[in-house]
Amino acid sequence: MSYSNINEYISDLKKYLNNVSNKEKNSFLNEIEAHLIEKINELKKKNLSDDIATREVLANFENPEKLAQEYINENYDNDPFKNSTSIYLINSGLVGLGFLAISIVRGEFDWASITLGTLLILTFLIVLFTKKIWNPIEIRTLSLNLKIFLFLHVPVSTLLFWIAAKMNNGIVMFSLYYIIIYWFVLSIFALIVKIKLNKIKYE
Amino acid sequence: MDADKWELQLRKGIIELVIMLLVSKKPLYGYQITQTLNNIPQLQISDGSIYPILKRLEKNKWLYSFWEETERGGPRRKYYELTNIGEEVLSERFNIFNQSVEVVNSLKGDE
Repeated sequence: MSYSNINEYISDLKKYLNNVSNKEKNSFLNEIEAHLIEKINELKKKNLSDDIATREVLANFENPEKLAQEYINENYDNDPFKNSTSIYLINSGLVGLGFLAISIVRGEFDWASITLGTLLILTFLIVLFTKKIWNPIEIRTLSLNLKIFLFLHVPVSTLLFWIAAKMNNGIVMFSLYYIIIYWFVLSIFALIVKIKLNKIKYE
Repeated sequence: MDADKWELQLRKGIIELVIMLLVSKKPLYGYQITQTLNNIPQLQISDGSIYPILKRLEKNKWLYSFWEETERGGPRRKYYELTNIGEEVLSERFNIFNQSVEVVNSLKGDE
């Protein structure tokens, strides 16, 4: 893609650095912008028009997607083992909430799944509140978690509620009370994750 | 012939060493460092590619950076200079580099 002005290029670069915290991203973007202006000014001194100088500089500058990738590769841990471990830990909350939903279909407390689910959720919360440095893959996973809480757990829990009702030829009161509490827990979870994500991105 | 992985990694390592060497002499900004590197055929680097490296060196606390206004309304410049830790790293890397060159040359001489 060819760019006709600096803002277009910076905006594209910003898009590719979406999961980098704002403070870090802005510092990087400011520096790139300063470099571009410096180079354009230099070409303008050689009697090139502003438009031609801008187009020439942007055409020869590193492609924004590649530059964003270089930035992430240079500045974040690329150890696949470390990354997959942290991604597993971040996703433990999702799995834990899944286990908690089993009691809905059972129509009674399923203590084994509740215990396992609670342990996984606690693991997630410990990671969420103790982790200091979040790399872009982890931020992306956490953002995805937020969507999954709302768009997977809510419909699936409703489906389980419906299955319980079908199996028992009517609404199971335990399942009804449980699903209301479950949705409340999901909302609290989504809120905590949303607040944490904002904190990570804007700190 | 396209540069293979070994050559790319060696070049990358040398570019990083040279960046640290350049800013050890006086504070420089990214554009200046890019221009200096691009004047040396063996060290040419794509425009913009220096900034992810500078950021990593800064994150490692090997470089210190500060913004400074320019005269006549030009863009602000972010200058980099070597920290004390950076100086130690640079000196250590020079030793490793020199020793490696000596070893390779001595082995080559034995052939």
